[in-house]
Amino acid sequence: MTQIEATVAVPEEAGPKPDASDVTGQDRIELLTFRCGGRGFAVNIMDVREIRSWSEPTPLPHAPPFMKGMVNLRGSVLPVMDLAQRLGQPPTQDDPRNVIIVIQNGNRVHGLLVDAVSDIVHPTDDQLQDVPRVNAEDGAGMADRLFVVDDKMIQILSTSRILPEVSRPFSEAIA
Amino acid sequence: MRVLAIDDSRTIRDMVRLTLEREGIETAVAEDGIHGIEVLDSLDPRPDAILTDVNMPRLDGFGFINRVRERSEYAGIPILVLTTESARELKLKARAAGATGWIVKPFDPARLVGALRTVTGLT
Amino acid sequence: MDPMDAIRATFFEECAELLESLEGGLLALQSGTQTPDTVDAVFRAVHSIKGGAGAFNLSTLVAYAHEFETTLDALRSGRLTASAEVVGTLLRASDVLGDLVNSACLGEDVDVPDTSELKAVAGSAEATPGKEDDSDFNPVMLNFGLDPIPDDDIDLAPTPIEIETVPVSTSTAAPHSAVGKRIWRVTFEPLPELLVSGNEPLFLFRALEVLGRMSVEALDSDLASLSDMDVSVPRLRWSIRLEPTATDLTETEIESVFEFADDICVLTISQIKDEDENAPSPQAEAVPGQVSPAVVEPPKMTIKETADTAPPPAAPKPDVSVQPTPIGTAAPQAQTSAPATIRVDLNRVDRLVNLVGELVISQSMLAQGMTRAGLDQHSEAVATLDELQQLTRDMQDSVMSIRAQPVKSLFQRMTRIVREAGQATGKDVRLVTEGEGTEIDKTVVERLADPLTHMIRNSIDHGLEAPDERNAAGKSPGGVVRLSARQQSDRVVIEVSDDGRGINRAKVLERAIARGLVPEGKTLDTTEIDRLLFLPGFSTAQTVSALSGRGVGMDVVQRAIRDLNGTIAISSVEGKGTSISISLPLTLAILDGMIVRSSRQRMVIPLSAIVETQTYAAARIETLGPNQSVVRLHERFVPIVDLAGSMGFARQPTDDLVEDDTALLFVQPDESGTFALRVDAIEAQRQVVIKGLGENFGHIPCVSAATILGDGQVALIVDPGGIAEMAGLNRQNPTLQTPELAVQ
Repeated sequence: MTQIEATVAVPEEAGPKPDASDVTGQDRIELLTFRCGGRGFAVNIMDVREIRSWSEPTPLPHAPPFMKGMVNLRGSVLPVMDLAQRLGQPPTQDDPRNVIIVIQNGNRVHGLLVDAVSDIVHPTDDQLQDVPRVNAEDGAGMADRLFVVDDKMIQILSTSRILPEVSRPFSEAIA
Repeated sequence: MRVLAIDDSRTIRDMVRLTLEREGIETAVAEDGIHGIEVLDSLDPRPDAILTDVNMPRLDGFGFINRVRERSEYAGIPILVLTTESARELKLKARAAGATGWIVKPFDPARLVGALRTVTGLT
Repeated sequence: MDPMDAIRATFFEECAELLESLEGGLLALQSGTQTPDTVDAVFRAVHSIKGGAGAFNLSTLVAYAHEFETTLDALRSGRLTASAEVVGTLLRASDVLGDLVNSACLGEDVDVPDTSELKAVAGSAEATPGKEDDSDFNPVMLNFGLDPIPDDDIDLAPTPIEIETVPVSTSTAAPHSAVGKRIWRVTFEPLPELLVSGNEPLFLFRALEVLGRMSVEALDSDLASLSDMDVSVPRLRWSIRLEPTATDLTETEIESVFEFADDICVLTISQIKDEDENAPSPQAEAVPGQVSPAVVEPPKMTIKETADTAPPPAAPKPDVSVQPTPIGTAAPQAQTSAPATIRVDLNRVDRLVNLVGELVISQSMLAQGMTRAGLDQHSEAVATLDELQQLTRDMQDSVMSIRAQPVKSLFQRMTRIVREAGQATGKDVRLVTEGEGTEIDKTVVERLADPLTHMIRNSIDHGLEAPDERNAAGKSPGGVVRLSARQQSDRVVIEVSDDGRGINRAKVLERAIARGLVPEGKTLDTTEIDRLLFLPGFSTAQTVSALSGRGVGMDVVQRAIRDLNGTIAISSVEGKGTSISISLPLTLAILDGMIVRSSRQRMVIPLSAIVETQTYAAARIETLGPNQSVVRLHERFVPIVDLAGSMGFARQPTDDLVEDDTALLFVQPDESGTFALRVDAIEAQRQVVIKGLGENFGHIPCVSAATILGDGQVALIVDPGGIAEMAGLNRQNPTLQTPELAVQ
């Protein structure tokens, strides 16, 4: 599978899922791989709610550059970020193959703009490798583990770490 | 067996229901004496036994029992009073109102079910 | 979820309600607005908490509730008068009880709090025998296992059965005789009360039969002749021979079968020797199930009326276990029934709210489509659409009213805040509430709790003076904090006011200058100075107080209110007091807004914030400098802020061109500080469905929420207050300062 058209895989009634991004200790993890800024990445398929085609988001005021804005996801408002920019790379180039991967982490649902999705893979535990410590490269902290497919490195992203912090002024201040 | 349980505390109602339903006893509940009468009137056939709290708004347990005992169509339904007070005087009041027996809260499930079985002769 | 966990959750939910009604009742007692039922309700609240707590073995809670209940019982029985002092003690106890409930909910282990105050109050009651001592109240954990339950869990203590010890039997029950063959003889004679109590001899025998082999003999010697027989008087006696299965069966065990009949029958229990007994007549040897029921049958046949008592023509009642309050049954018992209510999962209501929201969107899409199709305004389709719109409106209102909740519970929570703040500061404070019945969306009610708490603490801490200072100022030593709510068209206004010292504006200005918020030497009018209080990080307290310090300023309150699409304003008279008023939309689901376009983005401005609109071309605009211009609105000049520009959206070169559509929206976010928002065009005035951004976005500057427009595009709902802040309008920027002009 090299390309997914429009909206697929909607395991929706499953509701909020537990954070399944922790890939340690699982023998057969199922990963969705995709390309972003020319590099290979993957997320746990359990965190993926759906994949949808790109549509122009409504921009948000005073947001960091990686926040592209928000789109209408069947009646609710979905924040979309450019994953490449989130990882400190140049913005994703416009391309008809661009898709938004909708991921869920706890109660939060987020869209990730990526170049294109690649495949669904099932690496075994011994194919996975811890991320070697690299000096403060932007976004290095977003990956949980690595593995290699067709001689190319794929980084498995932690969905909880990709999501930006949200500010909750009152409750935090009062607490 | 079918039982009507009346208590103004949702917690106690839920507990009684859980306890009884685990024993296969069908349970209807009501929130106070007035509501108890309404529910009782709506049950067909009539329940095999009634459990009622004492201290309730609008119409308390004794008042409820009095009203039930005035109604010939409910004659002979065993009514157990669920009460936190175990004092003799309360029992006498319950008795005077026409209660069949009493269970002290917090109730012990086996005891409650046992008492219901005794007074109804049903299993 | 384990059913017990669910019940536990119910218990704590119920506790919250009970605590609320407890506090409400006590406050009514305090203010003298109680009804005859108030004390009973208060007692019941504590009683129910104790009852539930017992079932979950929350012994600390039980112990405290018990003391509390004892004191309340003295009140209930009239031995104790609800003096101000007593009610004060009870209110403090209700706070403690609330804390204990919280601790129990969190599973914290706490010691039983000091009950000496309660005991002292209870002790001051006239010493008359009141509430029965139920100190034998032992929490019993629900145990669904198969473990046998020890008998002493149940109160069996005062057993009033008179056991007639038959001399013969005791003498014959010599220990040496018939080893392992102890036989019991039980005689049972029901009294008339037994039949009306619902106890049934037959069932008692069945329960007895479980203990061993038995034979029953009916003694009918007392039976009157049929002619003068009164069915309500039992005439039968029974003699039962019981051969127990367990050799160590005790008298108490036999007695316990007759527990409920103890005082309405004559019961004798004795032990006999096998050989001694006169075997009962063979024909009386009967299986208990076959005991003739003729006489023990309850007196069903003596009924007078027949027609009326026939069971109601039974609307089908499918399942006993289904138990909502009956709604709309054919003949409701008029005067006895409280308004019928049902408990509905909030998620279901929210789903309904969302669906109605979608309906509103679809409808506006339909309206757009019809306009595009060029339908005649007088066509049937357009008329029907109008009708549909009206229905949708009504439906919306109905759905919203489901979520509406009186602010009463919120206000009640504040009474505690006032008490505690008064105690902490050593000030004598009285809370006066008004308009508790005012209804507002449930979520708004919930989200107001924190800001209100903070405002009230602020009032008491900074606003009210200490008693001696008040005396010196010729005021009564006790301060008053007033909390009021009222509906004003489609908004609810909530006001917190105090009769304290008011805002010391000189000090406020001094501080603002010291913090660089205002240029030195600047003169500001009183409203402008008051607004400084809402600037981030501003605090007027000389020292950070334990109560309202914590670095939380009114700016945080303001933000919380804005997140609810509300506005906040402050007014104060020095020496007389301060009043802060919050204006909130009735609902968080729908907003009346103006859809505008700015730099190719469509956005929604809440209608409630707009005071006027002008076309750019017709407005009287003066330029103060590059990108700094003001426009005249009535007697004043107000600053112009470009909408897209203030939101940080990239401007296209053509955006600065003034077109025919370019317009100015005069907005007044906080009842002061009006400014003009420049937009490229006003597109429509419309109701939009509010899509909260909370969980996914957190707080976004200049934006309160989003909506989905008719074409499916997401649009931002603008927060004018946030724009003012972002544009620095609150910071008294000299160039954007609003100069007072004498306009003829």
